[in-house]
Amino acid sequence: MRPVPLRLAVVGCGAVTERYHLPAIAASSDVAVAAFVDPVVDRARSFASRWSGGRALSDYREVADLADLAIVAAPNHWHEPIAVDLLRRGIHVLVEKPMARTRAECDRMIDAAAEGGAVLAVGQDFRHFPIARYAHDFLAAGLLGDIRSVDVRQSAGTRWPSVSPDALAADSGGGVLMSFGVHTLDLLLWWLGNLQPLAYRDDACGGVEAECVIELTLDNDAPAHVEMSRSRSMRDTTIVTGDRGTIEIGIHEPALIRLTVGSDCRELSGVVEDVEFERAPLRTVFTRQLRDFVDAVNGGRQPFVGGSDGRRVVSLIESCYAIREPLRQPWDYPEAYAINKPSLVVSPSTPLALSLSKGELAQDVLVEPRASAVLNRWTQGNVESSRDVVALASLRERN
Amino acid sequence: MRNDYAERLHGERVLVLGASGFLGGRLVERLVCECNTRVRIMVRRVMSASAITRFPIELAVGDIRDGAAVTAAAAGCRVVFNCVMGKGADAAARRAADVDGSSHVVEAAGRANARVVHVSTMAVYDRPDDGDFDESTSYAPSGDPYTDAKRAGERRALERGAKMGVSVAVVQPTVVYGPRAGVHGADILEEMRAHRLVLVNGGTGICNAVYVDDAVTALLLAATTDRAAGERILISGPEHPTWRDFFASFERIVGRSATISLSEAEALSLWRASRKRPWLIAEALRLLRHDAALRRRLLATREGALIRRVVHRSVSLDTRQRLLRAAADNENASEPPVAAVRPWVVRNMASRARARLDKARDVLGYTPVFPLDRGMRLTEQWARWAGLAPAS
Repeated sequence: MRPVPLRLAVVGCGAVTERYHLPAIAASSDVAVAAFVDPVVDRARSFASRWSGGRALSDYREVADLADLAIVAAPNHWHEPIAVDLLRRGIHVLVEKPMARTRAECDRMIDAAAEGGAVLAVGQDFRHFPIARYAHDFLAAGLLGDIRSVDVRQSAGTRWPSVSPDALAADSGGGVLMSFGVHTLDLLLWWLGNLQPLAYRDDACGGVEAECVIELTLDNDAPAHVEMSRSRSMRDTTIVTGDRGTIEIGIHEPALIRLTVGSDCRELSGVVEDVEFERAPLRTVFTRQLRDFVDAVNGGRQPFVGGSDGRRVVSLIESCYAIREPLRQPWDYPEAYAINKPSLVVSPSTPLALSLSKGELAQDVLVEPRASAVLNRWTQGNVESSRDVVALASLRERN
Repeated sequence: MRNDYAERLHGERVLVLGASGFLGGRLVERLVCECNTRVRIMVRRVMSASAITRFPIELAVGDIRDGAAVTAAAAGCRVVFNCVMGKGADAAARRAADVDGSSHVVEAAGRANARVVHVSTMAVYDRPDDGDFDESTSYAPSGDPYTDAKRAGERRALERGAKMGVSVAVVQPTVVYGPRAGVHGADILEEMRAHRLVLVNGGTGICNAVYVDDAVTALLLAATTDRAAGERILISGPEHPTWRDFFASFERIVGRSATISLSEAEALSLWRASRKRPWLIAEALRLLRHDAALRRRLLATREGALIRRVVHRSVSLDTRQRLLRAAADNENASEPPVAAVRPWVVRNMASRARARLDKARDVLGYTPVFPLDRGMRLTEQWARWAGLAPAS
């Protein structure tokens, strides 16, 4: 006799739910949807009518008596409060990536899972890509010898059909590092072990970053360079160089493994055969992710990607943000207006030089983003507050 | 010295439509960083705003073809910048965005008591083959969908503005280029990777290029100048470079020659030829001739191996070697194909018409400050960073 399907609540009816979770749910005989939840209840109703069943609810707290397990695919800033509430009630949770925005939020989720005796799985689905698994096994076998360097260039996520502006909101962790880098960095952590961020730069100017550059080190002090972009077409691969050779890994678009061994630089290229994946890549990945989650619930084991994995990558991202420096370009405003090599830098952290003339400032300066408003006020002789004076204390000669 | 427009826009709320595009995106950057303006944008697709949300802006989701959505987005705004451009070959779809959308923008601005800055194009004018043109030049006759929709759009905006008492200023940029440019930036660089680009009559036509920051300055001035209401204002750069100058800048960026000079008649003939469907066998042979990798793959198939065996047995070694040498010479000598350009682009590139800026100077106080070499230096830095050109 087949076991009774587990009752599933789907919290959050956005693009990822519609495109990937629902087909995975439909393909599973282990779960049956008990409720769709979305603050826009019409969206929940639409999902319920199209996916044969389940109640349409606007408040996740109403699923407590309806569900054994839940997929939480709400905006990032809702992950922690929703997951904590459900986990404490003993409802198993698969939470979309990123697990949360901070390690403190992650800790509360892990504690809630322990308190409720529930499984907490994290939707870092890139680990389910066949090439990601192959790369993990390849690197774990130590076939490259000692790792000497890592180089990642990744374009990120602008085709994603988000329906909510929350996807790009600062409160929701909508920058490229948090929303897409969580996948990239999770894979690096899984493949290579600990990473220590040395420097982090991004282009956010009061909003969320579209570009970021990270310099990290591995446990053996080998350098890792990571660049992610929402506006550039990049290589979209990871190159790991070791004593004995190099492996270039493209997870998806391109999906490839390129191996160079020895000194003659001849390459061996290939893919990891997986018929199911090749037919429907992301649906296959989400189906496998759901299967693992359900097996973890039924088997009382840890999921393939659990709370500690989710916390680990969020912690790394938080560390990056903590050492953030601005990524400025010569064509940004107002750098583009500096005709010659800039002779001055205005930033909030450099020494006082109020004797400079306004002309010098107007013609020939670089301005850090936070200081630009102050500069504007100062060039018209209108320093407004003591805070401005403090910021002006940051003028210094560069040369 | 801080500009007057920045002072006037300081702290004001404005709506930018088309902010995910090249000009609209740079406008948002200047509004936030230079003018300390509170910016709201409305886009059809959330992630299309992902490069512009690095600034602290309000993001609304909606379509310019939806009047209610535009009205909601314009509420509380002092200025509405309409940088939207319809896309595609479907004239009706373009009109819906460029013409009906213009009505929605003016009506929404009227309800919000806001003024409108409507971005149009110099393409609306019937430019002479040589000499100057300005706002008194007559409209171009009906032709391509882009020009038709932009011309009708600016007309509609001005008419609705006059009728409703809404201040509408139409700004007509020339050839806008700069970092993040599509048509006159990334598209040219991408095309140069695999094709030679046509220089009509050796590129002696006038390009009327304007660096993106000069164009944005004109929009900011139009938003803060009362005299701009009800006016069409042509804006361009401080010089009149030729198309040869313009494309030579991109050739310097990619580090090699990537253009070919054709007469107007040759360029039009090339376009006509490019429209004809090729014969399958001729096209297959052309591809095989130019693509060694494809030849290798096909010769590795069962049938390919059979052909090789037959050739091996029936053709003498001497002949085979001669054929291989000829193939190698052909491959080495072959140049990239020439990219055909549309007839209206050919005419545009042949024209030596120069945009006059008298009205922009008089009404807006507009003074462009980016000559081609300075604008292109910035464009080059961006192109290398974006991976569109080799790292220097």
